Amino acid sequence: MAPASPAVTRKRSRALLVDEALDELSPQKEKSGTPGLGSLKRRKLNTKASSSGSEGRWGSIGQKFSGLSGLFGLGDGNGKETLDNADDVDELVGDRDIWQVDSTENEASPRVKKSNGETKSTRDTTNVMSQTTKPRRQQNLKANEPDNDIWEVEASEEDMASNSGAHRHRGRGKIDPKKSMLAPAPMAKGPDPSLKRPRGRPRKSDILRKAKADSRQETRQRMVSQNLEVADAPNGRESGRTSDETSPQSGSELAPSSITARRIRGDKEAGTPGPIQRAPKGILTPTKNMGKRLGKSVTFEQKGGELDLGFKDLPSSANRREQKASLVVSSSLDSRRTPDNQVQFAATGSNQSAQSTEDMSRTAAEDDSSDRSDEIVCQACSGLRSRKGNQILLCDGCDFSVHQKCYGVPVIPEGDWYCKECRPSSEAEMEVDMINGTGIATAESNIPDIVGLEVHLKKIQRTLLDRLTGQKRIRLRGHDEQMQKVHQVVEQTVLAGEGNSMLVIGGRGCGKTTLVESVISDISTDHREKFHVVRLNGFIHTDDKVALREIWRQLGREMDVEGDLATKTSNHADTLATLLALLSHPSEISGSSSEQIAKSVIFVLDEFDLFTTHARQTLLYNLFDIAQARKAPIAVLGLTTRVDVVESLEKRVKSRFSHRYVYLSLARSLPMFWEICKQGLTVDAGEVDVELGPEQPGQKEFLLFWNAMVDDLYTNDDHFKHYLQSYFYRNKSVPAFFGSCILPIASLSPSSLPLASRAFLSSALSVSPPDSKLHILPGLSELELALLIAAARLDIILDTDTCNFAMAYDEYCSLTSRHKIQTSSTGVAALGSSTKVWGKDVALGAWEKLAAYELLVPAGIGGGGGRDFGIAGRMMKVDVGLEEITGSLDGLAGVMAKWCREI
Amino acid sequence: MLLNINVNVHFQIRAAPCRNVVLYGLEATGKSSISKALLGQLSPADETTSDSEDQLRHAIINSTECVSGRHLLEKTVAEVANIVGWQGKIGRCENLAQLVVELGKMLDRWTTLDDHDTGGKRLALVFDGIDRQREAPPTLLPALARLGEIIPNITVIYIVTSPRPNFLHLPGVPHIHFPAYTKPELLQIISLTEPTPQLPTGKHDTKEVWSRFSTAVYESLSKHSDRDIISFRRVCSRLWPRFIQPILDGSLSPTPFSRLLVANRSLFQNDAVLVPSIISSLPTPSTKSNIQTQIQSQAQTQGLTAQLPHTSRLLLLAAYLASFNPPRTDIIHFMKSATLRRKKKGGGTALTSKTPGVSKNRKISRKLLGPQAFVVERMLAIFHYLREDASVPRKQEGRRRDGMERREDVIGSADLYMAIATLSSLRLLVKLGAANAGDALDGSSRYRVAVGWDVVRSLGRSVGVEVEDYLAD
Repeated sequence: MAPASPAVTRKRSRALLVDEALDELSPQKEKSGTPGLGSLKRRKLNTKASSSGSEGRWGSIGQKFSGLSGLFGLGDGNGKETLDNADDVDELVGDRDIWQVDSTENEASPRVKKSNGETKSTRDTTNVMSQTTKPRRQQNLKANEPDNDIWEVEASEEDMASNSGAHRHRGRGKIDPKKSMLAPAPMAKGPDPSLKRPRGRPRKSDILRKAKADSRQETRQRMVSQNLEVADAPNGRESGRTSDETSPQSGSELAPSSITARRIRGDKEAGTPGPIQRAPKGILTPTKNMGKRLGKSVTFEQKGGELDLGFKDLPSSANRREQKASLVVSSSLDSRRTPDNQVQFAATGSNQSAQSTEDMSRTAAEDDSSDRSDEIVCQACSGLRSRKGNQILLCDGCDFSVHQKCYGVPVIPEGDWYCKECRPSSEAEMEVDMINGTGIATAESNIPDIVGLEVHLKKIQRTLLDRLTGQKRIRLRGHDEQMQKVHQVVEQTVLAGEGNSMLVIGGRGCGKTTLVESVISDISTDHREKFHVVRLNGFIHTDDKVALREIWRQLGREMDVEGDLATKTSNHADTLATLLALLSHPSEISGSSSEQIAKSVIFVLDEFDLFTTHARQTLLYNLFDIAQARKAPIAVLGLTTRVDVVESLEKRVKSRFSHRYVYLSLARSLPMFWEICKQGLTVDAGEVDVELGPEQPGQKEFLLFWNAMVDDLYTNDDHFKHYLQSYFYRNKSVPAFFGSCILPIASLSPSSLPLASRAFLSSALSVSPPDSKLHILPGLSELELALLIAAARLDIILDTDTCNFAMAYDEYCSLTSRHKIQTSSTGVAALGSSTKVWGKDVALGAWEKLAAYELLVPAGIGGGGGRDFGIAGRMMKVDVGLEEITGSLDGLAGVMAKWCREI
Repeated sequence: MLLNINVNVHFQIRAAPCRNVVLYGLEATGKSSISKALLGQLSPADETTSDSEDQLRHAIINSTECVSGRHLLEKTVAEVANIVGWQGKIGRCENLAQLVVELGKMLDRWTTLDDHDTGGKRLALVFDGIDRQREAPPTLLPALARLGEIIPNITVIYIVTSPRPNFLHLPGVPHIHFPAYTKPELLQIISLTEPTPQLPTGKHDTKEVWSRFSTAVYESLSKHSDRDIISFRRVCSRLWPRFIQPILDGSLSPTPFSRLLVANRSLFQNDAVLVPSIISSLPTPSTKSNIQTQIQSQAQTQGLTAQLPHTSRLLLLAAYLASFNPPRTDIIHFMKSATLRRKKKGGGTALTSKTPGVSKNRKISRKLLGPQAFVVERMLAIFHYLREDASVPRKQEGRRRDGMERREDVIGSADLYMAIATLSSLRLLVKLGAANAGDALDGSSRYRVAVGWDVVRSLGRSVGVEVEDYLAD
């Protein structure tokens, strides 16, 4: 790809230039719109003009023809418009020629260095051509070259934009007849479709193949082909390489094109017949190619050749007519071709066989239009620029395009480059290596030589473990807005003396407490003496009385209220009254407006939803009332996991709540999740002093190494990433991930230093909670298992989800005795006690054990039980399914497996 | 495996001071003993040997020893006070909030007690079998899980059998699984215990025979019903004296183990040893033990039939029939004119006979569904019918008894209600609904029978009633 990328740059700039020109050309087109858009519009225009059916086609052709004839001054209004357009185009062509020549000069310069003489000569030729086209066009107005070009351009763009092959085909069909009309006689129409089809067919197949690919991909493909062309010109070797590279993409078209290519070569080798033959075929397109292409480079000659190919496939009789007609034009063209170019073409032709005919012909037809729509957009940043050092890379597997820097490719790799989607297949071997341990082995070798490695490791382990176990708070990420809100509310209360209430709602482990605590600690750095904090938890303070006492205690401790006061208030009412007095603004009680300022109190109510279950919600009512009535500067922060918690508030409580909410969400994307999780595994440079203590020799290096190691784990270790993903996609729970990280971090020692994914994956040290009750099953005795299976069978057989011991035992007895009969009848020696039917008492013991393990759960309250019947008489539900039993036991006896299978 | 767990627990408690750790596994998988041993190892017995920088103390609270939630809380506070050497008054601990306050106070004092760095001091609070706590406050577990948030240097360890998902309402709590022992592990552990009556031939022989014996026990009994190590050991130690009886007698020698096994075959076929009972009914080492147990069980039922008076027995039968027969079939079984129809019932035709387990939607046998409730009046009606039926064979026996029966009839119904009340107080009949709601002898109060089929059959035979004849099925 390396040689191609300069070309990309070149294409880009040229495309920009051309775009401007285009804007003038078609007024509907928005400036700087994406090529796809513009082309779409144009396509619409086109389809409108050419309504369906052959008549429509005729009509459209007629229209176009009139448009064309407008050039001769015959047109009506519509025609005039086209005429104008055509005129514009003419001018544009002129302009473009200049531009193109310029650009070739500029951008071809690197290449000039490579092959000076050649390029220069080509440039010369193009110049010559561009000069010559104009006279040709003028004298050739009959052939309507420029106009034709326009249409051609539209057609091709339509191709690129439309995804439906049929539609495109129609459009093309329309244009084709029109083109043929340009040829002397309208009778060309008949043969024309057939004539064009060979050209169209490969393209159709191509488009179908890429039906899903968007226009960007199309653009990219075209660009590649153009690169080829451009690269072809200077030296065949280069082009050969590029064409090789592109060959995989155009595989389907390889066959036809190679055939045609061979034909070309044949032509070329034949010498004189080549040009002559080419001349007639060039009738329609080559000439325009000339007009537009001129500036480009030698490439257009190839196009001429390619076009030849296209036509050659056709019956020659069809060509004849056109041949005659266009002979003049193309011969003039051909005469201009320098012999060396032809030779070159012949040489490169074979290399180019890889290239799709479609690409060739399309680019040939489009030339400038392709330039125009050639924008390769970086799919990461949507940027268009492809500068040196940050070029847009194109994946050789798919049509993914991205900047070097956006994708983290510092150096353009030699040979093929694949995006991450395409890579795994090609790099499967590398993964195997990783698994085999070679990857790890190589990693181990690069432990840096740092002073006091062990000490640093111990320190960082300590710090990280404190974070992982929740001893130290981690910084909240991605909730800046929410944090600001809470901060504002608390600050208003503390500084301005406002009463506020607010609910912080979010799932478990999303950082509600962290948010509130960090806000409080943030504010307390400056204003610690201005407020008190009271922390309550709905799980611990289970009723209002307890909660009030706790408030009283916490406030009393903070406010240094005498201990006897706390003991004096023994009953609920007293506590409440004293508390209210304490909280209320002094002026309200005394009646006189004293200058005394009350200290603000921040109430943090964890598990807020449980406080709403307290009788009459007295506590909440009072707190909210105080907050709302500005009796005292208090802030009530409720933390809850329930979104609908407000619904459970009583009306009078709800009306006093400020209805301020802050919603915290869990990490939305994997990188986001990693961003949070990373804090448990790395120490930021900013936190070093706080976390790790004073600077010591080698600490910086070690930190660098450590952080790089963790980053590496995420970016390069697929197993670790998968591990992380499993947490992200299952619960997004950061604490759960932290919990699983404790062991790998804690067991790290200098000898096992590079933290590898296997430390996280080893199942022996798993600390995750069990997924289901199925982990119990391997520990069950055979009788218990048999009873469980019998009960689970009843589930299906009787079509009820409950059963009691008698039913399960009956089923067990019948199963076992049937098995006994079978084994005895088949002569299989009854294996000791495996067919024994155990007594009811023993079985009841097993049944009770199953119930104790909660594999059997009581069905409902009135499930036929009552205290006098015990487990045996109670209706139970089986908590595991029959199919789960077989799945979770590997050493299941054959009989029992059969019981599970067959009802 | 044990080593793994050991390391794991060690890390969780020591290296990484987690706030909460859950240890879970089935019964008798070594959860309590391992945690106890490990914590004992980690926390030094006396101050002198402890590292000054790192002190770990632990308190183990066994839920099975606590009869209520408050008992648990009080016990926790007392244990912790004992561990940290709390001198002050221990306040009342009625609810979780107070527990938090008390623990906070104690630990605060404890950590600030010494002059030197207090960062290393930690308390591990072990709640053994907390999931089986009786009368636990509803928020006990989540509240305990928040202890670590409020009190900084505490680690709470929960030992549970099978944790419910998210039972702490806290994500990311490390769970450590204690898997059940496999067969080789079980046998290895059993072989470490010393059997009580040693063989006369010496220790080596004893060990040899013991290990082979335990394998045989495992294969024949324990594998099937009592798999955990405790009951396995119990079964082994119960059977052992009888197993080696022939050796002690001198009739057999330990060397051909197979012969010993054959001689004691009955031991391994009898599951009576698996049924826990208070009366140690160790069957004598004879081949007739099967018969003996049958006799024993007969004696039990006979005990019931022998102790109950005739009327009560009939009442119990009536109650059983009322519980297990649907009311709509009463008219078939118990109408005076239906005697013939009842008689017919015996032989089933080909149409009615079913092969069990063939049809997808089997009918659940009524017997299996358990006793249903009935009103007293219905039971009394059946009782009167049964009494007549029961008296028929006796009439044939002799007139004298018949006369006695007649006299009982005459006596009236007061005795019947007395009998019902007695049966109910014996828990052979169970009154439904609230215990003290309504009159126990009210005709419309609902009862349910609490005896099983085997008892009822022998009861019926003792009074000359074939209960099968009256059961709708």
